[in-house]
Amino acid sequence: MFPHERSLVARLENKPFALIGINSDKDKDKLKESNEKEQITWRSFWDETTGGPIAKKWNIRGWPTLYVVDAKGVIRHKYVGSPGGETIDKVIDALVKEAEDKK
Amino acid sequence: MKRFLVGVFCLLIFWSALWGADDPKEKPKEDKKPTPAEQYQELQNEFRKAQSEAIKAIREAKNDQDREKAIEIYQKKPQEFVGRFLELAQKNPKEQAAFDSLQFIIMNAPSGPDADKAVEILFRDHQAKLGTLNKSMRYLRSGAAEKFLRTGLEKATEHKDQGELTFALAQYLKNKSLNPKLSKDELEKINKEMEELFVRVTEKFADVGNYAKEAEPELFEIRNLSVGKTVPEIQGEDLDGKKFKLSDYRGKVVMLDFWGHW
Repeated sequence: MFPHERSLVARLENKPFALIGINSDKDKDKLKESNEKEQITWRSFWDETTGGPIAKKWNIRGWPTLYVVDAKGVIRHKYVGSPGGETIDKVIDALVKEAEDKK
Repeated sequence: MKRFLVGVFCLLIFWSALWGADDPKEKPKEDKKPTPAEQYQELQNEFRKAQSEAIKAIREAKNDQDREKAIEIYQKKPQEFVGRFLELAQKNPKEQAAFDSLQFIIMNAPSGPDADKAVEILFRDHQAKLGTLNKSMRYLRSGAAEKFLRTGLEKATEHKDQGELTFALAQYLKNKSLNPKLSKDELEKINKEMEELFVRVTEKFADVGNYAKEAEPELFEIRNLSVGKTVPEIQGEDLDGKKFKLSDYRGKVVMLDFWGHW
């Protein structure tokens, strides 16, 4: 998951796109350490545990769960478990193009 | 107590040794026809072996496309065994091995004649054991499970069973709704029925188990977190303790990733 996400973030750096995590690791210091090691540069809400307030409200039952939201804030895709890098690239590229065309 | 158990154990060994020696007909085991339970076990072993080979193929896939293909083969693996489990159940319909075989079919078969037959035998010959099955059904996605749940709900007369099955069917539909290959229309239809069922759980079956409470986050998800809905706000802190909101990113495409290291 991480290598693909790193390349996705790098590839769309100057595009209307953001990857935002909701992280459920308990140990924040350890988490920061491994983020540095794995070059995870994107921002995350820290939700403290898998039963944290955000995961609970969003009824998250499996990790990773991905939501793809368009530029207007509408949920366009939802995946419990990663659908694979190619699928993610395809749906995000299409939405980024949609956002750019409307500008 | 311990000494007593050891004593019983020794007695058993002694007794079985005697019994074995007294019964020479038992000796050439190959000639003996396997019992339904043994046949079931053998079939299970064969299935597990095939399944672990399929998992190995997923791990060894070199790209997304190969991986997707290998996953598809893995997912269809159980279906290849449905026919043989059904045959075993039909030959010995009242045996425990039949119940176990039918359970395998319910968990794995797509909808169709095999699923229908399995449901028919279960409700005919294993009525008493069905309660335990209801609860495990809600984690499934197979067409046969849907048939089982819908048949059960139709036949249920007790309030408690009705509540349990209504919740189980709603959960089943939830699992089904997670299939990314569904069309927009299919997804909408599933979501609509799922919502009706969860609402019914909260309104009519609040007294059965904990289901009404479990239905609430599901209803929130259907109503606010389905494809096509405006994403709810998230407010929180990042890893540096800095406050931020999801809506700060409006105007950009956002991929929200619920993740962790584990």
